[in-house]
Amino acid sequence: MKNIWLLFSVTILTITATTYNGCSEFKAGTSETNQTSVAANAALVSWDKITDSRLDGYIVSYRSESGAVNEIDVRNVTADSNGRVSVIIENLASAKMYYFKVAAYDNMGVESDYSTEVSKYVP
Amino acid sequence: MKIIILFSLVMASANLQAATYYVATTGTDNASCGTSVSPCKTVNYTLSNKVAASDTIRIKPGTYFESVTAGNTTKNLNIIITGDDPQNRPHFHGSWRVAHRVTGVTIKDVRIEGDINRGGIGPEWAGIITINAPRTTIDNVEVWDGIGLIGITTSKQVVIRNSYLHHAGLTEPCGGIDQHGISVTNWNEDPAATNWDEALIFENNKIHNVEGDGIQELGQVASLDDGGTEVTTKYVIIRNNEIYNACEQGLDFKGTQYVKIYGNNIYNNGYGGVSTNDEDGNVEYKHLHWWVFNNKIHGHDNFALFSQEGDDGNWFVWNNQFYNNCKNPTYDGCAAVSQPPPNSIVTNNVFYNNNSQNNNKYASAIESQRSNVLIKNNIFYNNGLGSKGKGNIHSSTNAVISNNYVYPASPGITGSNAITANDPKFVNAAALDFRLQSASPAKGVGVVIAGSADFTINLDFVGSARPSSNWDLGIYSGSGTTQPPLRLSAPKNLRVQ
Repeated sequence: MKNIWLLFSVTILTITATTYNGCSEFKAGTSETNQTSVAANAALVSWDKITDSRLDGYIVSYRSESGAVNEIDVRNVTADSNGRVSVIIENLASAKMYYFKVAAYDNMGVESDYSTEVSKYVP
Repeated sequence: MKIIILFSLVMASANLQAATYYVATTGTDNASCGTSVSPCKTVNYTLSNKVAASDTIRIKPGTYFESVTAGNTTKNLNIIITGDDPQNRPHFHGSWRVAHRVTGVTIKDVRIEGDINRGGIGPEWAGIITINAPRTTIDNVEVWDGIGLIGITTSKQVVIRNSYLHHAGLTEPCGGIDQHGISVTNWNEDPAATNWDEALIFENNKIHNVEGDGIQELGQVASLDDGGTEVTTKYVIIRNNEIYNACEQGLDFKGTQYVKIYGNNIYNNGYGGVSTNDEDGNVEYKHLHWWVFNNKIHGHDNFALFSQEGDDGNWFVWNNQFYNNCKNPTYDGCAAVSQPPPNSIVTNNVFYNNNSQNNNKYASAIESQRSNVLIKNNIFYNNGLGSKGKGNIHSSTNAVISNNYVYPASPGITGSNAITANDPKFVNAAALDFRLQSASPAKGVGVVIAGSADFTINLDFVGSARPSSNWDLGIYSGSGTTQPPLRLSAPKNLRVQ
């Protein structure tokens, strides 16, 4: 629970993303197979859904090459028909390389390890 | 009451006097610089001409070609040097130094890249950041591309946290000289810490791709090498770090005493995980009082944990996961836990799949030849296999070995009250899920190990309390058929577009 609270605090301070399904941080990302168009200053991050019944949410962590880490709490997301969960992070700064990774957490607030990191250059 | 009022006034006065100065690439170094609107151009000018003790320097985002030294033993005490925007940290090319007797310095929210033209490269015991004084804090700093990354030449009260240290050494892949992520020496022969409040603390850092060790402690050696007074480094805390792809060891300590290593993920380092050894064979280093717990140490060619010297001791090693070590040992007798020193306790660990792939070098899970080593409540499963394997436990009669799960039972020894069933019934060993199924033969067959304030063996790997009797073997404790919690799997197949 401690981690969740910290994330919530960070989310309030870093208004870099937009709304998802009435929650505060993200836009829904649709299936990659649909090739959703993503704004130049945004990133669509997706991963295989976690099927463990204890799942309570995900933490999307991202940073630019020179920036500190941002962590955003993602709850109440559903997977697409391909079993992929995706979110869009908007308002990224231009001319920077961004790095993303995702962890899951359970209903006790215990986090998983992070996924492998992926990157995207925002022109 | 008078004392309280006076103290309050003094504190208020100190706060009022502390000032903030700004540095920016667009600034100018002159007598009037330092405001947010008219910043100075260099950190060094601000340090030398603007600040007083306890002031703050805020550095605007941008790229700086400057090596920085906090060297004034009056004006630079207790200063804070920080990036102005933690989301867009300033990028320095050069090296930084906190000089001898300049205590209380904090460096945070900056990025420092080694630059051979500005002294940012080595020697290996120094670093891109060199810390010569106690009470120094490094927080949220990225350091890369040097010989040494952070060199500490004092003995106590240095904190390095939340930082990203990578790529030490200029000759990748491995093969260069010692070039460490963090190097602790004590050329200044500063007095050693005397309690945990004065500890060296390394926490929540990521350290990888270094030519030498992730962290090396060499204080006793350094204080002797120049003919000076011997000072043994004491009180070191290493917690919650991720350390990998070091060419040598993840942690390489010499004569360090009172060391707590916990919550770390240490893996794929070229030589081994955690070691204490003798630097030159001429000095008898003692490694007394180590606490190694709740770590994952895995994927090494040689040992996971190794103590070279033989006449010291008092190590507590518990709740650790040692797996896939001794993969390609360079010497006979590799063991995941090698030679715990006398009077050590090795309890409630999991040893799994520590096997040599080198047909000419043998391996085991634990090798123990020293006196009065207690080995209990561990799970040894499928270690030391192969034609030259020494099995799970390779030990002399000096150790007290009991109540372990040991499979296969031979070669090697099992000790008394061993469980030798052919399957420990982990929830999923292949996935490194070392929880026990309710039908596991390792459940409820352990003995109670007495703890202490510093040795909280009564808690398992995830903090669940162990019962008053009949402990489970291994790192987890469950109650009846209740499984202890397991962390969720990490999300897979992450993509970005």
